[in-house]
Amino acid sequence: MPSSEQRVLLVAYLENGDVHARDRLVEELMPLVRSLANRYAGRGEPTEDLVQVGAIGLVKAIDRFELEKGVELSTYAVPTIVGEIRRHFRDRTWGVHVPRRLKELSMRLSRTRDELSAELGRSPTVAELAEAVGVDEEEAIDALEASKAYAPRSLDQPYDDDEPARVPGLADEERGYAALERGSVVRQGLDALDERERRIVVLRFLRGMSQSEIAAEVGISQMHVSRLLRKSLETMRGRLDETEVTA
Amino acid sequence: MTDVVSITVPAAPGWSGVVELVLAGLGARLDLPYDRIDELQLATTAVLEDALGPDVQVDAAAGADSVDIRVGPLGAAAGDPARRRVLDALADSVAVERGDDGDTWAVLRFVRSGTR
Amino acid sequence: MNGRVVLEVPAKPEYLLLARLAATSVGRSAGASEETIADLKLAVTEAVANAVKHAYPPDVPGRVTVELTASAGRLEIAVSDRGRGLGDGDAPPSTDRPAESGMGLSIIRAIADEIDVGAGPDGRGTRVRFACAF
Repeated sequence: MPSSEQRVLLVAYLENGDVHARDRLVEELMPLVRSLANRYAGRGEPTEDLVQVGAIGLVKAIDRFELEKGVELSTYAVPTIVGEIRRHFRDRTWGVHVPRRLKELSMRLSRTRDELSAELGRSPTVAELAEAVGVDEEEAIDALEASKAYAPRSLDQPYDDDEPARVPGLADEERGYAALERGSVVRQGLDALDERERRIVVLRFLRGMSQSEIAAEVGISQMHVSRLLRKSLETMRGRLDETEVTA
Repeated sequence: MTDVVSITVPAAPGWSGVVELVLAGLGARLDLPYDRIDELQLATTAVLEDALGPDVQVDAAAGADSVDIRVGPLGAAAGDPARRRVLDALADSVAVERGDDGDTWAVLRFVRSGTR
Repeated sequence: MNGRVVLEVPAKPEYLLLARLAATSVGRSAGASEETIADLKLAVTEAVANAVKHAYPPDVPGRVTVELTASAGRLEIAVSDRGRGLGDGDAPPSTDRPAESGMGLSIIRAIADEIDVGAGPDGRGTRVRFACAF
């Protein structure tokens, strides 16, 4: 369907409440929903459920779409679709398969991890985390691992679903990511960072977590994550430039 | 004395979680800092994506100085340079070797304690 | 999700944790409830602890194998070793192993839906296999 036809349908729905037009748009974009749902397949949730949940996301995106912005509907809808799928996992993981206690423990561990890192000058061990929080090691491991169910652990181009396209510093992140592609020089760049900065860079570019997810995991605000990320990338960039000069 | 923990899973996406959880347990027993465990998991699950199938085996050998993780058998994508660069950022050394039956295996080494 | 996972560890107490974690993970992937998973963890702990304590003489670096198989509504776990058997090949479980191991088996029997005990894969050692339906 050419985008001019999509526009007609969008106007018909958004301005005139033509639900039939909306249904046609949904139908048109279902392949997109399916391909996104497939990215999350095989993680213990039936793919068909993910497709249905993704479709809800698509409808929400269509409802929220703003004609004047000049963005393609398919581009605009992706964050909302992915967001719904992730929320589904969160609800299923926490609510059905994993007890509430584990979720609370996971959040406590996240905060404790940051505190201990600052105190110890290095990342804490599982034993240290477990002791600090007052649970046994197995429970601590379970809770630490459970929070990793959100993002697909893939090395594909990181995808950010929480933030609109005009996030400040996005260009910096892209340069930083391009820098990561440069082989063992990357290690030297990462080495220039302190432990928390390195972790944030790894979470962002290798696990594809959004800044708000990183904020939740690390226990700081999203703005702080954004600042640290920019600073880290600048540091890495500086170190990489240095290396190139001497190489 | 080097202890070896071995886990074999189907070479399909949903099974990397089992490998991760077991590696977390091993990392806890070895008193690795949690960030190191994270790197170990990331690198291993990245290599798992290149598995030949139908199953894939992960052997983790924990010595005094390092943890060596062997993953295989792997398929053609194992030598992918972009993947390799990312692994280099996570592990202290990465090697790709041929097993006895001509299969390809990746060996990731994580040096213990001190600097990365 | 259906499939089979095989975990092999040294027969040492510190590795019990890994068997429990594997059971937790496979159980969750299969969609078992937390209660069923707790049962499976207890049963696998008994079976592996048994092997760690009794399968090999103190200085022998033996190994324990834990196979976890998930199929629709059922999770089967088989714990095997290549050490001292429970009996001699075809003979019924005897007193080759201390009475404690009998207690471990009783616990598993009380928890699991099915259990069978016999020689290991090559006729050597022991294999304890149990399953829970959910």
